[in-house]
Amino acid sequence: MQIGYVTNCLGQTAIQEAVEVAVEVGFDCLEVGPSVDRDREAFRSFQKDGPVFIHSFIYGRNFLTHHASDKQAYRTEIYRLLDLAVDVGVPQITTATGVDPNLSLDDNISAALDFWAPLLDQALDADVRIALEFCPTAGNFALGPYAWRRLLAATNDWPNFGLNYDPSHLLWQFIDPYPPVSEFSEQIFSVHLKDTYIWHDRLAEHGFLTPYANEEEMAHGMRESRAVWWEYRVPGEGELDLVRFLRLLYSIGYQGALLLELEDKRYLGSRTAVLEGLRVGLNNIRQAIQTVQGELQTE
Amino acid sequence: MSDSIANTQTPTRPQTRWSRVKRANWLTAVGFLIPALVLFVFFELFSLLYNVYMGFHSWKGFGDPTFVGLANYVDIFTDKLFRGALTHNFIFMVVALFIMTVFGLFLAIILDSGFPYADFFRALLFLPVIIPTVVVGLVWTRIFSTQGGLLNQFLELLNLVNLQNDWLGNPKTALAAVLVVWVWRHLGYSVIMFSAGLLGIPDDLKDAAALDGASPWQTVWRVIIPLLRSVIMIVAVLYAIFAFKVFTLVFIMTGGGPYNATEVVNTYMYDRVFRFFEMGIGSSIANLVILILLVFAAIRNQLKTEVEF
Amino acid sequence: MRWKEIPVYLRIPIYILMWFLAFLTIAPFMYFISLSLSKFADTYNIFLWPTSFELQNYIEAWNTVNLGVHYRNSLYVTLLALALNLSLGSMAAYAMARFDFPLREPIYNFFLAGLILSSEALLIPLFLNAKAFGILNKWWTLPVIYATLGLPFTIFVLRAFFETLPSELIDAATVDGCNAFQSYFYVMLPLSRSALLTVGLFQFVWFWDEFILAISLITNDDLRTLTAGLAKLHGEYFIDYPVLAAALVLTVIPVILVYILTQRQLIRGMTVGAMK
Repeated sequence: MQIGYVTNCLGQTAIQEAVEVAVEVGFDCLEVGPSVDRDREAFRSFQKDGPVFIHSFIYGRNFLTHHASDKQAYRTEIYRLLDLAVDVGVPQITTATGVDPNLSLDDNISAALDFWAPLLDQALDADVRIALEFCPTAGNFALGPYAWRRLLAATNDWPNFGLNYDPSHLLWQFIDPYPPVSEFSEQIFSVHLKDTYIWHDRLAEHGFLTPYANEEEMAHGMRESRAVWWEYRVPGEGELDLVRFLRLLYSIGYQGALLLELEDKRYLGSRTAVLEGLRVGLNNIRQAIQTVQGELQTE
Repeated sequence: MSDSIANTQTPTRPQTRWSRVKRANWLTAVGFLIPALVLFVFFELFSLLYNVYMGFHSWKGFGDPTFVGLANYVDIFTDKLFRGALTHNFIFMVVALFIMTVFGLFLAIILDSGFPYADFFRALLFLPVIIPTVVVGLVWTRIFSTQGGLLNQFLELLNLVNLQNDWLGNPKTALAAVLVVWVWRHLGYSVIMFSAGLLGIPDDLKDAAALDGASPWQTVWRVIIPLLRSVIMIVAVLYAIFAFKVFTLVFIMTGGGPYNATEVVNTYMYDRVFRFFEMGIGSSIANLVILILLVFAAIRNQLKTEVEF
Repeated sequence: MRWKEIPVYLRIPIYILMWFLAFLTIAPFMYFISLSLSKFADTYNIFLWPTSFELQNYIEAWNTVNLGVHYRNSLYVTLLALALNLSLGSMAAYAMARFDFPLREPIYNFFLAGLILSSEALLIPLFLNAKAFGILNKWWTLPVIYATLGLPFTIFVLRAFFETLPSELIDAATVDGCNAFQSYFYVMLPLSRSALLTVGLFQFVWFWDEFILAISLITNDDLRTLTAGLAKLHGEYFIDYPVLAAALVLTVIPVILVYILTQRQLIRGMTVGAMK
């Protein structure tokens, strides 16, 4: 399995720097986010002959927003991204569906399909996969297995539509992250390895909802609201049983990539910190893989 | 020393020779020499050899280089972009030879002939030569800018709006724009060089020609230019070499674009190494550039030995 | 002496040409000085004379765009490189002018061969070398490399100069009990002030202006020199043009100062530079 990382942790950067980081830490590939300068020729060159390749682009916004200008901007951008992916040979775009809180689930699905159908057609023709990352704060309505089931059923005509499985989002929603891996094994195109740490005592003190503002600006520039009682961490340092999760992936025959998404506040803010976080995360992943492979060999 | 006309500042003392210390003191000599020699060998010789070696390899800056023989050179020569870049360098060279050398000579002759305030003009024309190229590039980028840039504003003021252009963004005008700035920056250098040369021509020679009934034009053509032949050659070769050193202006003003309209060999090389991490190819290109420079150096040496008198 | 002999109908166009060239040369300077003193990017006076005097731009350039850091770095790099280049170069030139030793001429020619190699041509070789030995991004990277690249010129000029000084001076010093280094330091160098100045000025201008190595060998923002810092500034975010202009003016001041103070020597240095 190839291991890569998501470039958003670097903030505004050039692809050359992202590649250098990948090489320095020891990744095989990258997932390129919107904060990387779009140097088309450089993308193409790296994609063609390394030293690392671009696994996918990531760009998730609320495509069903009511703000007309925002919606137009997002739309233009995602189409541009698809063109870029086709041009330089990047096989996947990780994204969000968008969400309209006023609509029911089924209506949300229809609205999403209205937006996505033409793009999915284009992507299908061009052999580009569209993977949904079910991040609750990036504009998604399908946050759990129930909604995924309905959504995936509605998008049956597009085999290039699937999931980017990020267990960290499920953990603080108290959705069991393990069973869906087996259920949706066919549609998991990629995996974000990110963990969530929960302070159960704080949860007991504050409750699940945090009605008072607790927003933080992430390294990639977008503000996301954070609860008081949980935070994202590098894989292996939160609620997720990394070995169990990887064992599950092996068992379903997962051949895709493992992408380390660094949103661990302890490792953001400076280049040294980010590199440190990436190294720690990669180390944890590698150790867990070793454990699982050891088990496989002794069976 | 040869080239005495152009070399007006190094005095020669023909009679006193240095007493040579016996070879027993060569340890001292070596002591004086070693630091400079060590640095030089490490940074220039060794780097060059390593570069020649890497020119036969492919390397992405990570892992081990792979031997590919002449594949890099084939890649470069069959790349349309490289050939285009090389052509642009040759255009720079033509401009250098005709505008900088010829025009510079013309200006120097005029200034030397008694033009009022000649010293002021010379000093002024030389000013751009010492301004850091990055600054020159940034200032002129602003001048050529389509958003409140000086040139377009000026044309608007003169009611020549139809001449307005996206000077650096239009593939048809970009190279010319960069050339203008390049000439702007370096013209003063040739004027100074020729002025120094002209100072070395005794006034009697010039006056004698006039007394013989020669028109100013004839004086220039038959007396001054032949006497300046060596300086002219030197300046011409110097500028030809400059034409292959172009990098900073292009990098700052256009980055090689638009659509590679201003790409030169050095920006091409920079891109392949620092944008695409193709180290081996970069080495190969560097080897080619060094080769070109060596050819010019050989030409210059040849000219130097010919033009002695 | 012959200007007056040129017919008037030719003189007038030439006058116009000269003044036009002068205007063309000075206009960009006036433009960006005015720009650096204005509040907005597109207000300017058609005569390119400043219309306001916003010194705020200079303060902003110094602080917010990190100009102070880059300025300091450029000064360090240039002065250090100069010191290294002049000391090592003069020592080597002295050795070759004063002593006869085996391989003297081959070594001299070896140095001279370095005159042909420009910093652009050597970019990749130097980069590969520095990368292999972990020399990138050090505070001494640029000074040492600049000094080394400037050695051929320094040695060439200084050797020639040293050879013109009478040997009796050194002989006298040796008789007085000076060893080689003392004769070099206390006798030769003081006599060579003008040559050292000439060479030094040429190198100063070159070091201050150097770009391609500065952007390629140093990627740490704290170590960047002015040329690299300005280029990066231009490439990144939307720039406040007046502030950028202020930064450019500040960058140019040292060179202009040096030019005004040492005009003749400077020009001489650069003309000799062409003779290489």
